[in-house]
Amino acid sequence: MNTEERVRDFLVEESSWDRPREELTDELPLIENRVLDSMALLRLVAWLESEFGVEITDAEVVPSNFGSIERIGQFVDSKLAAPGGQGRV
Amino acid sequence: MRHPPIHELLRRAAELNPDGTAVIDGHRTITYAELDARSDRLANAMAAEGVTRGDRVGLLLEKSIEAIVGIYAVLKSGGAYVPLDEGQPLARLSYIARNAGIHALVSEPSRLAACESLAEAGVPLRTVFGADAPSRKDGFRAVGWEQVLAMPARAPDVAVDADTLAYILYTSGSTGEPKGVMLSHENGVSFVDWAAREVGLGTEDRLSSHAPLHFDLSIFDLFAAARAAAPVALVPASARVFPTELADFIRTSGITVWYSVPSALTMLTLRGGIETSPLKTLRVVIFAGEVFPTKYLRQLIKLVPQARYFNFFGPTETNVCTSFEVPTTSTLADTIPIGTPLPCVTATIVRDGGELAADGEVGELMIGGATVMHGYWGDPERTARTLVHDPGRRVYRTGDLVRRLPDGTLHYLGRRDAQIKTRGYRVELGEVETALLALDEVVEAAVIAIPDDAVTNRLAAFVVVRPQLEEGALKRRLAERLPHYMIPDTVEFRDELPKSSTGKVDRRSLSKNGV
Repeated sequence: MNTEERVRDFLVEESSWDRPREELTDELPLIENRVLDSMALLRLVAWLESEFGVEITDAEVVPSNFGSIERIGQFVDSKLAAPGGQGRV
Repeated sequence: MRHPPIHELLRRAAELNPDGTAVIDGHRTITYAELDARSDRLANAMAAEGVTRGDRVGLLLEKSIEAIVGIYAVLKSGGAYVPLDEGQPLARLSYIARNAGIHALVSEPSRLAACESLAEAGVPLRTVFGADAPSRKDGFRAVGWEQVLAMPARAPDVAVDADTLAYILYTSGSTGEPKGVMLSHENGVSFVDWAAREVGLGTEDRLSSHAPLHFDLSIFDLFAAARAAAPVALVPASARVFPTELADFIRTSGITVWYSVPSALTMLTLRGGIETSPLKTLRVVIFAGEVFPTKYLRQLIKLVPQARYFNFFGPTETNVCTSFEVPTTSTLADTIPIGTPLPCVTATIVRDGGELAADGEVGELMIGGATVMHGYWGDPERTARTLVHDPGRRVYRTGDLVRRLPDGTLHYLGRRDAQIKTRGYRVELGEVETALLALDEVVEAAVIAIPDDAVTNRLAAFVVVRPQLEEGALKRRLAERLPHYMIPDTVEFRDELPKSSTGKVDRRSLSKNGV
């Protein structure tokens, strides 16, 4: 399963998302649609760190990295690809 | 002590500090003189559309300069404003609008469709203010800002006294429908007046507005700012989610007085990056709405050592009724007291048998005095059950269990009933259970609260369904009735629910085994 799918699973399970899974698209703006509130975001960050074995700094928790599933996927994948990035899959 | 009406605070600010900024809304600002004049114009437009003293006017728009103009215009019209949270499902909003008897709304062009949906759902709307073009839509008139701004900048002469209702805030109700808490000008101003003195507000301060308007924390943000003729900066939606943006917002806006639920402060502490970029402008930090886990509060005090910290306490029905200033120099106990009653209220603690509790004894907190609501809108029966009329004053049975220590401070212990807090929101577990049982497939349902450090409580539902119903479908259908924070975090399907000897669902055994 790719990163986006795993993030989608997490959000369907852990956020306030209550519509069908397929409507939670890669591009859907997560803040405007109230999928993520502050506490769901903190849970997501903690989950990404443990699930993918990446370290996420405070300064990286910004809309450009977390605004949509697509952005989260790109952000995590770039962390995993970076030199020294050790991914657990 | 009697106070002037709420909008008199605005008028005085406009006299004292006419060119001072009243509201900062992203890149837009409005001065006190402009806010006063514009709300006068809107009040005149409302009068021209037949809004009169005692009317309830709904607010269906994002928190913005326009929303605040709307609030003051309603107050100047002698009406009561009713915030309608756009994040809530239509069914709940239309229930609230119908229950409050709303005929007029303050809204915005992008929400005209939502206004139409309310009208279709049976809300007898006559006028929507703040919508773009003057037009007749689905039987209601849309009055745009252009038309509003052509009205005279002198408020209509409406007699408003301290006991006139100023706002109705809907909270979760145990029987399955939200209930409207009626609050008067005196209720609001007596709290604001005390709070402004307590934290020493002045014109040089900068307040923040984090809470949504349907949450009573907003009363302090808007009206204490007006009393001090100081600016209030509205926290942008994105900063409410992203901790470093929130920290940036506080720094760049130069916020000196912060007021929010603890969870916002927790996220700022954990992920705001404030150990490297300190929040130097903050001089007062107030939290309310739920218990602040002491371990995070300790961290926050270490990171923002120059600020004074206050724990405000009180259900919507009493606004804020007790307060505690957190000592920052000595070690913090594991539980923070809710403090001592405001000078304008009396707090009595009553034991189960009805006698007064001695120091150290547990009892229900009863609050009397100036901040106590006037009742529940359209529900005299419920009002009579919770408001005790002492000669000459109202006393509210909070349902909160507390204990008074010999040093005079009150300590919160829990609820008598099934009301809980999650993410700062107040939720009656009964309302969630009622919504579950309203689904055809749900035969039995129980909802319990599971304590959680970050959000106070998570909601766990246990259901028996016939025929099968998927978790996703169940949550979707609940979302048609309940706001997102009332949707259970987890749903467990059971063949049957455990029962006590009296045949009631055994919640205690569910909370032991279920999670």
